[in-house]
Amino acid sequence: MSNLITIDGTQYDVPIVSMKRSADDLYKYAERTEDGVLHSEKIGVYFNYQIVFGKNIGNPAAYAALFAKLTEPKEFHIVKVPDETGTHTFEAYFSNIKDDFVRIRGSTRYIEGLSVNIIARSPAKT
Amino acid sequence: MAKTAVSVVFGDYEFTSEDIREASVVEEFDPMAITLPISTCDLLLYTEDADFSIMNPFRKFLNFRKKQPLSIYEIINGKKELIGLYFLDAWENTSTTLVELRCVDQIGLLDMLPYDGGIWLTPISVSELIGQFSVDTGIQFQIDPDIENEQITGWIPICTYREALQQICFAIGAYALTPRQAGFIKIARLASEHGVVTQGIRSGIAKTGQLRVWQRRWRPAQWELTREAYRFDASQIGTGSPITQRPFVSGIEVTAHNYSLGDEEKDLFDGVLPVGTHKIVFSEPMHSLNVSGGTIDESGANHAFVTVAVEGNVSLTGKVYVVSKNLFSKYISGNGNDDKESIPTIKDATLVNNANAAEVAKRIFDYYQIRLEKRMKLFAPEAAVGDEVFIAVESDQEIRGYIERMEVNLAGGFIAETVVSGDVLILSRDRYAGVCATGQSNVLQYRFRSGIDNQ
Repeated sequence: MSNLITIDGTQYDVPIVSMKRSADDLYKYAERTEDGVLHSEKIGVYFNYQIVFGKNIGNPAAYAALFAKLTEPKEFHIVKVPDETGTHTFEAYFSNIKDDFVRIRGSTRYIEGLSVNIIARSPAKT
Repeated sequence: MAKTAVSVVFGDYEFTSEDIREASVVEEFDPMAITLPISTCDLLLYTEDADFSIMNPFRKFLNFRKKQPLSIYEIINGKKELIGLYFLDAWENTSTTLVELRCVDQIGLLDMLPYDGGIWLTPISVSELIGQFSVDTGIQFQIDPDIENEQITGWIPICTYREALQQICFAIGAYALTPRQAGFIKIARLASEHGVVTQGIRSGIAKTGQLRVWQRRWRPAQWELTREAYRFDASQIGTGSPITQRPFVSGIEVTAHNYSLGDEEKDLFDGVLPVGTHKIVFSEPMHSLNVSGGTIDESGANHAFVTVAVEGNVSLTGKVYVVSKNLFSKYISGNGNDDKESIPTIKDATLVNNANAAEVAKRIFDYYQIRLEKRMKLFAPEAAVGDEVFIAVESDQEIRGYIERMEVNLAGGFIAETVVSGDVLILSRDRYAGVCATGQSNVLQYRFRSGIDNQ
């Protein structure tokens, strides 16, 4: 699973536990007229992702690199994810990044539950 | 639904949807020119171009002194429509990349330009007077051919060009309109436009042989700026669109001003002036000016430019104009005994005189009797401020009126919060049946007659 996501051209050897995709609509407006009919102007459809990664213990260095990438002080990143037939590459920002420190034994940190929301900058479909 | 996008053009620089965070216009007009509203445009732009930084002394855009013109467009389903020509009024860099602009229309620009006024004892045509405004200000006007030869007499004090234009429009019953015009101010009259609307009986072109409409029918050419009327029903009007009633007005009082040459002489200036040319302004119109200690280079009814060659005492005198004032009025009751609070008075219309005051009073009175106000949300409408509209309301009735105000969200789908003033349209078949207004008991039986016939 670790090869399924590429961020800014780099793949990270961290297992992916789940990857949820949502197609979200954004409208300029959506209002009803007096006859009850809805009128709207759709800006586009955005493909957004919620990814949960596996534990760090398999490759602590890759996990640290991934966390560092996700928390970079940079507005947007180029993300490549798989879709039904190939891959989908898009510009996105990351939000709601969090993980759990399970325990620390000696110099070894056990971390799990890293999750991130990947929000598309532009619509995938207009 | 329509696909919309906004575009803002500064000279050869264009902001498109990807640069525009917010864009809205408030477009207004007053059909009777009781006021001359300024239409405004607010923009929030995203730019990394240093030419739009308020801190950049070498910027090439947005020179405050020049009132940078910008054209606003809306692209609706691929078709680019001009919203209007606006001029920068205020500018703020809210961050390094966000620029907030507040702009006004040509009437707003006229409001920034001082006018020396003048007095016309012999009539001057509207086209000549407004033509001079165009020369003075660089702003273009388009005048309805039906009113361009209307004659003006009276006085305009020192004011702004906007106030002067309001005086002219008010005196002749015209309006001034800038929204959706191609860079000019449209001067027209509702009744005049109404006469050529291409809508059957409402166009005034009902049938052949009707003397009342003969002149309009054979008008040499229909004015190119004439707009069609628009119809709206429940499928086009957003929910929450109330109808309200404007305040009751039981009469109108207009003061007519009639000017003539007077003989009384007044001192206009007496004091020491340094070498140079000095502008002296008067608090009332003057004629037959005399100066000592200098020479008059140029003068008008309200001012004189005096050149002083050697510093010393300068004395300027002139003769007054005599103004006689008469009150013209129109009341519902006919005698003016109504509640005075419901009778507006117009005292400062100095281009209204004995010749046109009665007509002005009737026109304003009739306008105030149109009391229905329909507020509605329209989605990318073709109709614009100043257009005649017919709005289907409950009970199979229609409101006929004019769009007086639109607040349009240009970046949010071209949704227009619209205000229409109008009245219930009485169909001609009902009018013939004697149904002129609700509540008239003597015509009630005629109203239901058709129903009885059908039984």
